[in-house]
Amino acid sequence: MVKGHVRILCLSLLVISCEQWVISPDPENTPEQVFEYLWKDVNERYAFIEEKNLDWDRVARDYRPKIKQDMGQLELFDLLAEMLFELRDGHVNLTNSFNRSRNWEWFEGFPNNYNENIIQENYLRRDFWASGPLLNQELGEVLYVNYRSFSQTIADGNLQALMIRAQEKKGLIIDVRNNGGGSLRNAEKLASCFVEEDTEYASQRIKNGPGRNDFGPWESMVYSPREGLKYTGPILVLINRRSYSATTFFAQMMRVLPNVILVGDQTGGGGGTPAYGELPNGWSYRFSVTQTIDKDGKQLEDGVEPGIKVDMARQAEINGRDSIIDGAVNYLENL
Amino acid sequence: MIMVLRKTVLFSILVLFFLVALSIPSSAQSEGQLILQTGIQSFYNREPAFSPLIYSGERSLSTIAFSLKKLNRSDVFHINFGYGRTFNKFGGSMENLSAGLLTMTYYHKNKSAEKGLHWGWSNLNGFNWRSHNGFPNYSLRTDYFTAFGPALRHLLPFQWKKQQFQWTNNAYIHGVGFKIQSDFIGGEPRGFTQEDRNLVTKIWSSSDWFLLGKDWSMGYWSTLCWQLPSDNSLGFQYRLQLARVDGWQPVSRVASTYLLVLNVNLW
Repeated sequence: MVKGHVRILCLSLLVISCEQWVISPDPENTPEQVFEYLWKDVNERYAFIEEKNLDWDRVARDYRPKIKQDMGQLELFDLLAEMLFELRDGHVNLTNSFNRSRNWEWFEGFPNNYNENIIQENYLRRDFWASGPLLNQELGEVLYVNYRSFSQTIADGNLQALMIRAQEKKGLIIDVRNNGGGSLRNAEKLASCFVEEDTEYASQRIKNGPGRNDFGPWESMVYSPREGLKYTGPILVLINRRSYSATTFFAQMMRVLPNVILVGDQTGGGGGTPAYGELPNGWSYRFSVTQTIDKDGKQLEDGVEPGIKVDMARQAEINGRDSIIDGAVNYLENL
Repeated sequence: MIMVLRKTVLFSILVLFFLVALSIPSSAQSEGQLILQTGIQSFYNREPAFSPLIYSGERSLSTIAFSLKKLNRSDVFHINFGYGRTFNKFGGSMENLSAGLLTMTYYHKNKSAEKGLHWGWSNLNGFNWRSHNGFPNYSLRTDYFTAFGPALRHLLPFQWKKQQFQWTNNAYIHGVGFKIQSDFIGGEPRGFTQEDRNLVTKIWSSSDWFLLGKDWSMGYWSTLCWQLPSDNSLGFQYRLQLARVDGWQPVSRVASTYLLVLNVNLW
C-alpha cells in the first residue's frame, strides 16, 4: 500500500516539476529585452520589409547601441517609436498609457483637397439626411453622400434609404476624402449597393512564418451584392491622401466597376491589415502583417490611383466652394 | 463561435450517452456512477502570438463524468468545460475557454477494483479558445489536440471516526496524438481558408503530430471522498494539469483546480 503511494507521489512530483518546462516565467522587463523583442517581432511578422526595401538589420545596428540599461520610460518610448517610424507605415503604432507613436507621412506634404466647413455649410447645408453615418444631400440631379469614417457602422436601413433616394438621380457622388478607415465590413456593405454579382477586387496574402518571404497563398477578396435595391448608374468616388486603410480598400472595390470613376488624389494606402502585440513591459504595438494587391499586381499599401486626378482650386475654396464636388456634379449632370 | 460551442457540448453529451448505452447490457457485472464536479481553476497561459507575458486568472470549471467499473477494468469519461478571463501583470486581458473529453481506463485483473495501484491509459480531446480583449484584429486563437498515453491511479479506502472515506490519486501523461492549431498569425489553422478544399481535406492538411517532448499534456488529480449513507459520495478534488502545444506559436498552459465532487451510483 505504501509502495503505491510512493509511486503516485513520485509521479505527481514529476508532474509538478514539469511546470517550469511548460510555462517559463515572464521575460525580463529591461530596455534591452524590450528592444530585442520588438525588433525581432517586426523582423518576423511585418509584411513589407522586402517590398519596401527596408534594411531591418541596419536598423538593429543603428538603434541597438542607443539602448542603455538605465534609460527612462520616455526615452525608451521615443527610441522605439523612432525605430518603428522607419517602416513608413500608417498602420504602425506603439502605444502606452502616456503616448501613441504614429507615422503620418502618407498625407503630410500633400494638398488637403478637403474642407469640411465648406461641405457642411454649402453642400450638406442644414437639411441634409443623416442615414446613419451616411450624410446625404440632393445637389441638383445628383445625390451627394459624405461618409467620414468606416468605423461608423452602416445599418441595412441606412443603405435602403440611400438607395431609394438615389434611384431617380442622374448620378451619385460618394465622398470618402479624409476618411481614415475603420472596418472593412462597412466598406463591403457600402460597396454591396453597387453590384449585381460577386465581385473580385483584390488579392491578399498573410505572413505565415518568420522568414521575410514566408507568406500564405494569394487569396481573392470578393464582395457580394446586397439584397434589395441597388444603384448601377454613374458614380464618382472622391478620394484624397487622407483616405486610408479601409477607405483604400473601398476605393479599390469601386474602381473595378465600369460605372465608377475615382476623382481627386490617390489614397494614402494602408493596404496591410495590422496585427497587434505586447512588449515585456506591457506596451502594445501594431504593424501590417498582410499584403494586398489589385488585379494588376500593384500594392494597395502604395494607395489607389484616381481615374481623374484633380486638386481643389484654391480660389474656389476662398469663395466657399469645393471645386472637386462642383466638377463632379457638373460631370454627372451632363452625361 | 457560440454555435460551434453549442455543437461541441451537444456532441460531447451525445458521446457520453452513447458510451453509457454501450455499457448497459453488461450492467449485471458492472457498476455505473455519475460524477458531477464544479469548482475554481487558477489558470496560467502564454500565447506568444499575442504576448510574451503570462496571462493568469481564476476560471470556472465544470465536469460531468461517467464511471463504469467492471470486473477487470474501470473506465471513466469526463466532459470538461472551463471559462474565465485572464490578465497579464500590466492589466491586459483575454478570454479563455476550454472544452474537452478525457477518458481514463484502468486494469485490475486479479486485483481489487476498490483499492491499490492500477495501470491503464488515457485519451484527451482538448479544445482551447482564447480572445485578446485589446486587439481588434487577429485576436482569436484556438488549438485542438487528441492524445493518448499511460495513466495510473491509486485507491486508498479508509475509515475515520466510523465514517468511510476513499482517497484516490490519478496521474496521466499523453505521449502521442494529433493536433490542429491557429496559424502563425491568422486564427484559422493553416490551409483552412482555401476555398477549393473540402472540410476533410482541410482538417487532414492542417493537422500535425502531437509528440511527447515537443508537446506536453499531463495531469495529477487527488480526490478525497466521504461515503454518504445513501451509498453516494461527496468529496473534494485537486487537479494539476499542464499542457504545451508546439507549433508556429507554441502555447502553454498550467491549471490548478479545486473541485467539489458528487458521485451518484446509477446501478
